[in-house]
Amino acid sequence: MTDGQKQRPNERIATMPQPGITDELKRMLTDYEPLSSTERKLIWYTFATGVLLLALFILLTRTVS
Amino acid sequence: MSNDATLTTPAVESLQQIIQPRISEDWLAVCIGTFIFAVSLGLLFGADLLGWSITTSVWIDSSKALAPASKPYAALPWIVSLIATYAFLLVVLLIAAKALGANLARFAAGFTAIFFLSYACWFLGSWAYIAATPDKRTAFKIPWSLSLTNESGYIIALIAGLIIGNFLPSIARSIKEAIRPELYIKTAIVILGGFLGIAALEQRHLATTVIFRGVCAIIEAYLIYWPIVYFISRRYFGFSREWAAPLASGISICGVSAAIATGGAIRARPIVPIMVSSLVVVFAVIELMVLPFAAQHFLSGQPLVAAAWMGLAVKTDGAAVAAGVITDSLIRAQALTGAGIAYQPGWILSVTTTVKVFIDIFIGVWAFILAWVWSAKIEPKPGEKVRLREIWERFPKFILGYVATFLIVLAIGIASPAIIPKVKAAMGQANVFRAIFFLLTFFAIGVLSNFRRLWQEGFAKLAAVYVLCLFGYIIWVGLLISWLFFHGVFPPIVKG
Repeated sequence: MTDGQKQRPNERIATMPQPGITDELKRMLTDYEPLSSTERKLIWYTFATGVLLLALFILLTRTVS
Repeated sequence: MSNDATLTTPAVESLQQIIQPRISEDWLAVCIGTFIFAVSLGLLFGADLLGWSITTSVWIDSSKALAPASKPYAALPWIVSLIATYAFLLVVLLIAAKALGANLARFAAGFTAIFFLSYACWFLGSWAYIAATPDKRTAFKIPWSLSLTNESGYIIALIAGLIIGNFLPSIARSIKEAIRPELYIKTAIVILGGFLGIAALEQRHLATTVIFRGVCAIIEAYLIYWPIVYFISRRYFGFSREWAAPLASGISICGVSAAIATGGAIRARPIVPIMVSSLVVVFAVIELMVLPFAAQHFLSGQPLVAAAWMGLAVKTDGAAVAAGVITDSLIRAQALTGAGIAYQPGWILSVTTTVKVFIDIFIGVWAFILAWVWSAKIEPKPGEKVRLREIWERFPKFILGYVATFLIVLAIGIASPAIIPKVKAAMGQANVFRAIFFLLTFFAIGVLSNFRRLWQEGFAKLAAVYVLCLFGYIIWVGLLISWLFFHGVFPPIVKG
């Protein structure tokens, strides 16, 4: 089963009697779904792009002004 | 408690009210804002069409506080001017309410209460002991004042709204049809575009600098805020993807709009962005009450850093622009008191608004990216494709009005420099209504922020992420980014 095909806790909850959002939030720690490799890539690529662009834009603003 | 039961609680219901007609409200804000803007331009053709609108000066003698906006209407009694302003706005907003499918009688009753209560707050905030800056104390013959300028009326309106929202629920329910902060603030922002146009005409280099740096700062906000908040929500608080993505967008980007757009992009259940939005609204009020005063204390020497900080740190359009208004008045008063520097009013607000507007523009792009990542990589579903059109569908349309009023003023000024003073006077009249829409926004935000009910609904875990990320990370990174891009850039100084 790939990361994308894992059944999410919320999908399981949706098939059971609705316990309410408060209970759902409380139960998330026990039903924890680990970060997938795609999520990790999304997080770190985005952050790295942000830091690189930050450096680039600072350089650009200093140069322009 | 079932999900449906949760959905129908008044706290969430009131949020749904501002969320569901979102697109319509955007276009309505464009219509109302450009209508007021266009009517104000009558001055260019010798027709003073809005001069009768009410304005309030800082006062020590209450009988001299209220007056019509322009001299040709000076003979008009203030009460006529006030009622005319109320009636004009009532008619315009009733048309909007009809378009939104609201109950017109309830809207009219609610708006009447909101308008007069808010204006009473504005009037109180203009009392010289509260509003007068040190240079004006001699003229008013008073030994002291809080130096908050007359924009302290916004804070008083917010407090009044909070009191009603939290302690007088029956009154809050009776006026809820007219509690539409998103409509009010977007209309104000459309009108504000004209003001920015004037500012750009007078200070072209500075305006270009502000716009360029504003774009830089917000790209950073998306790319640096979002992944960390998502990571913290998932890794340390155990939220599912369905909760973590809207939560990260709500905390990182632009509150309600971003949470809803992200929720839609990843196909989250509607309750998820609604719950996140309710948190955003409450915390935005807390930020609004704290950050402008922190900025006044620590950043009065760097006004535009403070301005950008408000745009990057305070969530929701209404609260961010409201924070810009307060910061503008507080820092100008502080600079005048402490250093004897009189900055031109409005520049701090313009920077906050510019940053916020750019953040709004990118919400659609970000939602598109997330929709693609989710549908292609994280939760692929056979046959599901992300359409480019979704960027347009999620684009906040009121920004078109803001850009249009900005460009029209800019084009008029460039084409005929001789009539810039008239355009400026016209924008001054439109500004009367912008201030009133701001006032309505502050009051409405206060009424919507039902702290007690939110806690009753068990938001502790969501709130914990919010508090940790907002106060432990976003505020400080926002300050750093604002400092990096706006340090050493100052508003123009008032001549003479």
